[in-house]
Amino acid sequence: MPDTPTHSDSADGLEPVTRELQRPVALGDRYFDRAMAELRAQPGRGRRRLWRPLGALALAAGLLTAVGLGFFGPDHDAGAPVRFALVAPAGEVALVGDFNDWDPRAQPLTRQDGAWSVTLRLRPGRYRYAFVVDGDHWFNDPNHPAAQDEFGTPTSVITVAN
Amino acid sequence: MALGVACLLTPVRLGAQDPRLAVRLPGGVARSVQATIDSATADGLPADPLVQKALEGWSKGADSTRIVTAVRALAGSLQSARQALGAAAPTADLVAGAAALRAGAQPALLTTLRNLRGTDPLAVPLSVLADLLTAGIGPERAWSSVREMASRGASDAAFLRLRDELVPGTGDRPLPPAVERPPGSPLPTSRDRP
Repeated sequence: MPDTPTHSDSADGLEPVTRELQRPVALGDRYFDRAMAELRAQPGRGRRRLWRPLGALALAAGLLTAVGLGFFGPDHDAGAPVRFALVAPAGEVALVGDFNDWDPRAQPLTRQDGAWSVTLRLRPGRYRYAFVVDGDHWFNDPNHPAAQDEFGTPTSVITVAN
Repeated sequence: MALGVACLLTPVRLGAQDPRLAVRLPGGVARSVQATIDSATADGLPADPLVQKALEGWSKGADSTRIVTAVRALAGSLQSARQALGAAAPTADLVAGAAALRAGAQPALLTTLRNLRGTDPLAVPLSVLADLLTAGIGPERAWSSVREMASRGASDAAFLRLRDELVPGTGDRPLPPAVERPPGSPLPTSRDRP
């Protein structure tokens, strides 16, 4: 007579599987490179049309922006280190905002394990900012409040505490 | 359009121009913005937020009219914030106060918050108030939440937690809900430039 798994048997057998499924998985650079290559290979798609599926892909993959605040002591003159990060398939990502004269060349993000990031030191206050992807597409930060914007472009706000 | 032409034709002082404006903006726009900045600083307002607004507009491809209008509007909000918060208010408080005013807060609320907080900085509570209003939280609820926390002497971190609780989608999370996020917005084309 074959064994009929009991509830506890099933639970014991599933536990390792559950742990494995819950283990964080890093998406390597090749994942995004492959996705970009496949999208670009589709015929009849211009740059702007490319960005529709690309934007969806970026969002479906989790347009992750994590801004981490860490305080390394009372160094108020230099400000607190603030990390800006974005997960998106892109060739280049820049951070623009009230802290760098809105200059896309000022703070290019570097990519590691599929996430683009840069860390700045900011004094306490309220700052408007955005990400510029591949030079001409603006993204706000999904993890921070949207800003009122008189120019019609996605913009976020970060508040740095004292 | 008429405003833009008027702004460009406005006589300006031949004072020192902020080099960031001179380098990034066309001459006419830079001069109009600089005139607004000169007037604002003569009244004791900080220049940098106004410079940043102009550079923001330029980076976003806005035309000269929108840039000059935005800078003037911000100067007006900073002025109102300073009147509400006092002449000694630091720039960070003025910037956050201006944002709160532009989001719909009444100037009297800023003064009340100033009195509740004593000598503590106001940038974070005011910024949180602006965020709540911008996110569509009702003015009464937004203000009562901020006022209650200020009355209890809450820390800046507590104000930010309040904001994260009340505004959906904010706060550090590993995977934000993608469906709520619009795709990136392309810049306006260069033909929008003056």
